[in-house]
Amino acid sequence: MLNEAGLIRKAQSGNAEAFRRLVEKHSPVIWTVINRMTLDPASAEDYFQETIIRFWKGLPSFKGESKLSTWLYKIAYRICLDGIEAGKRKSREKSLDESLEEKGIEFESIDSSGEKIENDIAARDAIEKGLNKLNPEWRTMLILYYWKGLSMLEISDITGHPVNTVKVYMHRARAQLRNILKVNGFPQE
Amino acid sequence: MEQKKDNLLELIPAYRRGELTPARAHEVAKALADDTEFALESEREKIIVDTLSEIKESPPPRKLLARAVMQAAGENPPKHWLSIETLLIAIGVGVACAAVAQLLTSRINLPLASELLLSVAELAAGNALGFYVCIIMGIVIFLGVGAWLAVRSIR
Repeated sequence: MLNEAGLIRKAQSGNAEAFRRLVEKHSPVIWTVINRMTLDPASAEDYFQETIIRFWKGLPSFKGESKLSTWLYKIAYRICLDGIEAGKRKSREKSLDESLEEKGIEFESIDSSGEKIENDIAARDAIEKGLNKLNPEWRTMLILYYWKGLSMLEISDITGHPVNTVKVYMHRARAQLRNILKVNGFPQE
Repeated sequence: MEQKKDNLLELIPAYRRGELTPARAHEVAKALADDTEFALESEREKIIVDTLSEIKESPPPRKLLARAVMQAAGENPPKHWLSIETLLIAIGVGVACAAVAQLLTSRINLPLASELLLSVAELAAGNALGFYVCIIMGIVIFLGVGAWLAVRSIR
């Protein structure tokens, strides 16, 4: 049974079976991150496929300086971001009004249904909805940090933003989420 | 003041895990006890962190996974251009080309060349030993290729 380093070496020399095993190992996390970032199943499939193709093509240049998972997040993140940006450009071409409205929702609005959050389950549900309203970059940073336990430095490497910028974005994202809970009366005093 | 609160808020997870220094822990505990809004914010922060860290992992559909792998591996496979294989192929092609060129220009006589090689081997260790030298060299080459293939398959 080969370890990950062995599988990487085999895949680098063109072994498709080793490549398949690496993809199988990392695909659930990559798929989850892509889905969470795009929030669109159809696009997620395209981005996932593109990520796997770039993974294969880029394997010879992978030197193991970072973890394979971090490198894969980087590829997936870049593909998703490019796709989201391209989608935004397209929609801007369609209608300037629609685009401005969308931008407002993405960066500014806070989900406040006006209903009181009675318990933790409702609060988590509100967080999930609030997450989906966040800027995709901020959302992904939070997920990588809290879900996958990546360091700020790793997230900085993946996103291409300086560590301080990552901190600021994450701080703002969390403040938005806290505000969602606050306006919905959670926790009850 | 707000900035200080924000900084303390970020310490809450570590505070709950008991990872803060006594001085820091005291600072957080005091803020939690004295400042109601800070305590509420810390409750909100907790539910955010809990929700995020408990995200459920979902595997991609099997068909998508298979299609993606097939499509990727169907592309030009990644190979280092400089490897033992390419080096051996290059040497082999080079030697073959040189031999063909020599043959085409009739500079070498093939039967004569083989006879010459055999006689060189025989000369190397005398008539009786020449045969054994050839056998040993063959075994060494055979074992070498075998070992190389084994190493490759393990890698």
